[in-house]
Amino acid sequence: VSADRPDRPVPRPRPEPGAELGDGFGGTQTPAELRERLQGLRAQRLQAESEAAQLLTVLRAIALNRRARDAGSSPMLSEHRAHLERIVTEVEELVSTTTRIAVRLHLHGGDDTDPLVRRARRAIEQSQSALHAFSEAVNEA
Amino acid sequence: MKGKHQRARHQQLARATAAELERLRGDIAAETRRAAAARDGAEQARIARHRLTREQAATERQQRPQESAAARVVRTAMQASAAITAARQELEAVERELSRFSDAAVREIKQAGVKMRFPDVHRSADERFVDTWYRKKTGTGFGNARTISLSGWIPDDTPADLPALAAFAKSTVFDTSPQACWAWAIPPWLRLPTDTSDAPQLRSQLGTSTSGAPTMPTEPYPGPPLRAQAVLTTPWRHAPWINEPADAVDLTYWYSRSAWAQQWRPGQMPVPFWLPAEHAAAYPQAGALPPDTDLRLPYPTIFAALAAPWRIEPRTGELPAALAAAQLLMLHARGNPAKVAPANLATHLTRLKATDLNNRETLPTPLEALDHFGGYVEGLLLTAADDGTPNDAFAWCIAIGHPSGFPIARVTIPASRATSTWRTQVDNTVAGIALSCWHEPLAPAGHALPTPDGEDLTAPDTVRVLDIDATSPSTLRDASTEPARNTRPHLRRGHWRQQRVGQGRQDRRWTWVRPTAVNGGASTTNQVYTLRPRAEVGT
Repeated sequence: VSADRPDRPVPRPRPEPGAELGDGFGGTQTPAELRERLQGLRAQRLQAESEAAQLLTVLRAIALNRRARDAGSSPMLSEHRAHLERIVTEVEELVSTTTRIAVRLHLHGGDDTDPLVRRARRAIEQSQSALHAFSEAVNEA
Repeated sequence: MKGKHQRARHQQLARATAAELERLRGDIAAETRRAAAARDGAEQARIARHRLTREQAATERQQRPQESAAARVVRTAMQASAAITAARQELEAVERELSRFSDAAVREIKQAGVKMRFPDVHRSADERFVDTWYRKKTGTGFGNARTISLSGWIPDDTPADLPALAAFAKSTVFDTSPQACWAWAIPPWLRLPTDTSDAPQLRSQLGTSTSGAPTMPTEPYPGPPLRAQAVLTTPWRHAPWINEPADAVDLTYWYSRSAWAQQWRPGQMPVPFWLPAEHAAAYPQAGALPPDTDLRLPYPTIFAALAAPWRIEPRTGELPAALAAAQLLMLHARGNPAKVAPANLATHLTRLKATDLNNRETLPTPLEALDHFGGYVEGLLLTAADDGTPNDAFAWCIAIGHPSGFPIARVTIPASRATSTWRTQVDNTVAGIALSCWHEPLAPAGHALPTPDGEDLTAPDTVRVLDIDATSPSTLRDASTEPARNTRPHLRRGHWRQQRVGQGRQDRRWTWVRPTAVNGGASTTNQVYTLRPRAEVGT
């Protein structure tokens, strides 16, 4: 219509009833367009909210991490701690057995002519040497 | 008419559309506002995630040397433990020989207080059956009883009737009855102090304010129970080589129970605060703060747990003859707390009296044992007035050592800061608690964060751990940290410094300048602080 008469404005098609308030003409939007925009905004907001919801968890993780750092604890150190505890428990067991044998040897009586007494004394000496070597080695490390 | 209806419908539709548009625009405006807030939150979460990554990297960087050192110790200990295993196997073989069935061997075992079971008799068999079986085997009665005198190990005024005696004799250190608390306040292999004449020089250095004797309570121990997953299951259990803040909960239990048994501040449960190894060793070495420094403790009673305990050296020279003779029995009576559940008092006494040690007076008091064997200060119980001002009264929390290297007791020793030789060390710890920043206690995942009112102050997650970065901000530059070229390598002591903070730097706050290795001097790693002088009393 207007192609051959560029000096005349392009005629607008007649709007639908009530569409003057948001008819897509004159810069306004239709309800459908606004609904679409609202849905888009809502999706973005939900996305942002789900990201924001992690804030507390992340802050807690930071606090835990800093606390663990200052306390000198980590899964690896806990593993080493468990290993060392097992070894120290063995050492303590040896100390306690040595003491027990020493007490029993005292009650048993006898002298160096008794092979059992000699063996028990040797075992106690071996235990003391092992304990000494253990503490030396660990202190060195 | 037709046009009139069309117009009416047209206007009706226009109104509906207008209302819809109005509603949508309102929704969009509201959504835009909410989206903006959500974007802010998301942005904060993103920033926090970046910070978490940085913190994790820093933690990993800082813990790597500790982990390597621990791995080295584990490797070495594992290698050395082969000899331990071999020695134990040989001892067990000897014990089997010593236990070869004979009436004499059985009597020895009973005398030594060693647990005994006959493989040929079912464990559920009653005493009469065991006696008959034993008589058939040996021709003599089994006599499954050994008389143990409790005199000296129970209060003098205890009625001589079975229920009254059994309440003591059958109690274990786990029990919290008044009788158990009294009987185990000082382990049976140590003597009860009756006055302040034992280890007088050490007492003077510690500034002790009581004899340390237990008072017979009228009610069971009111404190929270020992936690189910406790590592320090008895007061004589060795502390883990690599410690964790949760260990402070167990220590708090034993030391507060020891304090309660002496009726020292019985109504107040201590709150555990954890000083990391570096600070546990550095705080006592700092110079004293000005006397007018305003210090406030956050709770009426605080247990300051030292991740690196302070050492109290043993007296030099030979042990007195009585102690040298008793120390083996003391260890035998102590048993092996790491593997075996605590036995009752009668069992421990049977072991202690294996060689007819019947007089408790021949044993050392806790302080005499500490004086001769040395020990470790694992923490301090600090007290405050209602306004938080630190009191003079405090208590040493000490694990008493033994030549074997394992502790034989943990006792709380009430003292006065004013009279202690080591006042500066204690004062500095008070300052450390009052001026340092602390990590908020953290509830385990899935649990509500503790509330100020309903908070269980001794739960593992409520141990306050010192916040190193907040206590010593990285922006803090000590002017003296630049090493002089001609300075010999050394470790510069840490110290407290007042720093201007806040808007316009109007406020002042105490910050801790951490120890510095100057020109490649010693590092703060694995430092053990020793309370000196001990040489003067070591004669």
